[in-house]
Amino acid sequence: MFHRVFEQYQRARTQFVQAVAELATRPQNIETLQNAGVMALLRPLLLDVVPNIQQTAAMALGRLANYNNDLAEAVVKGDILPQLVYSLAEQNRFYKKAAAFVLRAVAKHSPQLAQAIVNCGALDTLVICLEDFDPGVKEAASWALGYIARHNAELSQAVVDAGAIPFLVLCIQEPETALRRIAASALSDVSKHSPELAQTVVDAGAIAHLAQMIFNPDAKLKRQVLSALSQIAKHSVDLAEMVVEAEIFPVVLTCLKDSDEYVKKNAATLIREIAKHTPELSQLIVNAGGVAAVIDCIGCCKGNVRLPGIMMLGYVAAHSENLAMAVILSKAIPQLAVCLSEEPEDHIKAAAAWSLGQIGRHTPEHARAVAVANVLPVLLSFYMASESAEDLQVKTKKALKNILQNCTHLPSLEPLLYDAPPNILKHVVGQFSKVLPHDPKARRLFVTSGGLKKVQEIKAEAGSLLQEYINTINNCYPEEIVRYYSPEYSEALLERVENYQPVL
Amino acid sequence: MLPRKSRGARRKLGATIRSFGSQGGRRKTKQHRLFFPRRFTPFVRPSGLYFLSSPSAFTQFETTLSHIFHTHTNTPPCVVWYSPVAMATACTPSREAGWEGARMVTLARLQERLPGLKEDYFHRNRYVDQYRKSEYNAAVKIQSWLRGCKVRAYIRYLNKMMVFIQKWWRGYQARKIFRKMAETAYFIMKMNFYNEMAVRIQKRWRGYYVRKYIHNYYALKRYLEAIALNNEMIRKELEEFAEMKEKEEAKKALEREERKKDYLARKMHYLLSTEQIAGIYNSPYRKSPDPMELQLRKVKPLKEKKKQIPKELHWQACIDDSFGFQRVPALPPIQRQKPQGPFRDPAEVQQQRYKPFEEFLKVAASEASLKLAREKLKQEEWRNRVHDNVFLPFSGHEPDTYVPSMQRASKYGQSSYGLKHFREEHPEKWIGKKLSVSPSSSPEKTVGDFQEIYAEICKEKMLEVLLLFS
Repeated sequence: MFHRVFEQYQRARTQFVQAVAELATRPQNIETLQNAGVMALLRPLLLDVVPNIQQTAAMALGRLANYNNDLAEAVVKGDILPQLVYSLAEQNRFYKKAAAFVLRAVAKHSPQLAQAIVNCGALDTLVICLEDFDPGVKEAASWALGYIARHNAELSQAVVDAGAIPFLVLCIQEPETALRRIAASALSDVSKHSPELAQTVVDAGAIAHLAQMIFNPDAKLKRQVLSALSQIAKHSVDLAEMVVEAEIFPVVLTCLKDSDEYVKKNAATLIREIAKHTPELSQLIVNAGGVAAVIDCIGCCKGNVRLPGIMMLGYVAAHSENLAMAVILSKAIPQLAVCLSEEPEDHIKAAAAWSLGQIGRHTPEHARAVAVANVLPVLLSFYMASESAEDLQVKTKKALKNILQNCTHLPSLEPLLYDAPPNILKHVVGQFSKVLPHDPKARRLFVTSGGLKKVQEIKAEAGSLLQEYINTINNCYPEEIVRYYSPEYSEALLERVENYQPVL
Repeated sequence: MLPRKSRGARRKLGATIRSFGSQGGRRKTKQHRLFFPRRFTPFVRPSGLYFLSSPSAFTQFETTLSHIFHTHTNTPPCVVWYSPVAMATACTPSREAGWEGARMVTLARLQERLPGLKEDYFHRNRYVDQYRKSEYNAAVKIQSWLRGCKVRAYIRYLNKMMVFIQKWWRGYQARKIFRKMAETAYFIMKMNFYNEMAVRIQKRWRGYYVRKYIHNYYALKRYLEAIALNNEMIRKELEEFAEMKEKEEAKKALEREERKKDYLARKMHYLLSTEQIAGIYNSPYRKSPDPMELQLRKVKPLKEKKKQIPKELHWQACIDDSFGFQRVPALPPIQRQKPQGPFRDPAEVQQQRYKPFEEFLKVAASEASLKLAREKLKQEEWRNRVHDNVFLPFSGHEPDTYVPSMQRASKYGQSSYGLKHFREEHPEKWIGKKLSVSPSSSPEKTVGDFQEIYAEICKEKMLEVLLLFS
């Protein structure tokens, strides 16, 4: 008799919780659920006597909190977290998993929410969960820790202070791929904020294990591993050298050929983060053939995946002229030119322009290599285009300036004479004024191609640098030729005809 | 003191000589100005006046002056003052004539001359008085002139000396500075030269060094060539790697496809043609049967599918499921607009529609509930038993051998009390033949248990039914 009453009640609770959990999976239901006051109803169910109901309630809560910031805030304001944290330490593994899921869902939205979780003392219990026997619990806990650490350096520091790093490093060594993946991602999130945090991760011996996992066939794991390595390497030369010392080098290059886009992107990012520190590290990458691999990678993918590769080429070329020459020899310029003209997004164009500028700024030889690829008019057009972003304009201008100041390849400079604005024209004319006095053939070509005429048409302010350059060019030619090509010559001739008194 | 020189030389040195004015033996120079010899101690006292008492004294003074100014420089300067008494004394005869006689004669002569002398003396005094004033004035004038000359000469002299000293001092100083300047200029010139040479050496050396070790063109060229080669190799290797990967992928995809096809064939095995009737894949109008037909022939038909446990439950499967966990259908949508017309509330309709089937308990209770209960009990027993050697309670179970404790062992032997016997037994005095019975469970007991359980269940059900009907 009584038994039946209780049974009914329990069955109803179970049904309710399960229905809510089921409904919470669909985003369109969530608002209705919230309006129906589901939070207040779920909260007592978290303390239910039946574990099954507890778990399902936690799961429903997690799904709700996962949906948006407001619901996550509602979870925090409803004082649900302390209950969760308390039972996280006590209950069985299924409940632990569900509770960690709620924490993760709350922490994901904003630093404040993550801080609220830290304030509840969840970190310690999560770290205890990392010691759990069940891989599922470990996975959920490391996921939650990763989401907490993701936001800022203080939260990461809190995670580190809770002693999570050694356990995360242990988790990387587990056989379960999902756990490894999430532990690697958590390590990446921790180490991305500051050199000190990255150093803690390195001190826990993460690099060796991460480096081993590059061989893993699982693409998602590879993504996280490469991301973690790049987050470690990005901070300082020492850390980058430690990453390099883990003998990642020929192996990472194979990741650039992976079928997964994100693996490619993260591998390129890793190489970029290493290359940007010193010329020596760049040299190492060049010697390992990394530049060629990156260039191939740029060639075979699209969009944002290209970006780290493009920037890596720029960093390598910026270090020294020999490295820039190596980059040129690896046939980087055609690829960059393709990126510059094909990519629809401005920031990728800007990166390509920057890289080209870095390659071409060293010597006339370098500038010539860039100019021959017919990059200058493209750069100029982006600089002039009104719809291109400000950053792109700045980058293209700098690149043009860098290249033009070294360029002595006149045929590629000539088109710029016709449509460059004065601040670019200054450099173009300056290069002509440097080359023409010493090169008779070029002087002849300059006249026949109409360059001289164009130069005469330029209206420069007296005493400006541009005027000086123009004067230098004019001095290379006989006066009557200069006058012949100056724009008012025909009028002047006609005037002379008018003023002429015929001799009879 | 300059040495004597020839006339020409002396003329050249005239200025010097004149300025010194101390040339020995050159008394009569042509110069008119007065000069004081070097060692001449000035004899003019600032307030001194020289009294000249007579015209002869005046002349005498003149000679004295000339004497002073033209005397040899070595003679110490002196001024002689001629007083009348001294002059009288000078006129006295010498002592050679003998003191007595001479004195008398002289006296007589003097007395003879006395009246005239008096007159003369008077005249002379008058004469002196008459000219005293003008003489005095003249003397003052001369003295003032002379002194002025002397002071001016002295100042000029000092000036000359000063110029001389300054000239030499300045010359000395300027020469010193000049020497220093020349030295510095020379040093600078030398340094410039050395620097220039050093630059030349360094230039050569650095050019050589840089060309040899730093910007070795040939090494650079070789390096770049090597890089190009290396790049080619890496590209090729990566290409191979990618190809390999692609092949693997393709193989996997093929396998997947194969499996899918296989599954499909098994599923549609009923489309296989028989001896009599051709299946749809084995059209008689075709030359050869469809590959699907061949596939169908190869595979076995799919067996009846077992009911699968929903995937979501996989980790919930081991939860304590005491009340029979039952999945419920999805709840009806909460807020829906009520349709226009004489319809019931949609929620009500939904509820009606999704209402789970309720059965009578009589129907709900399975026929095999007894069997199930038995099964359950068996399972329970099986689950609870961890070990085949069941741990039996102490009563009725004696250990095989007795191991004496150390405390109880003694050299005097053991008493049998407690081991062999606890108390004295006298079985012969027993009335009945009583033997100990082992408490093992009999199979009848179990059956009885089940019957009891069954009866209880029935009673319960009856009660429920009664309640329902009442």
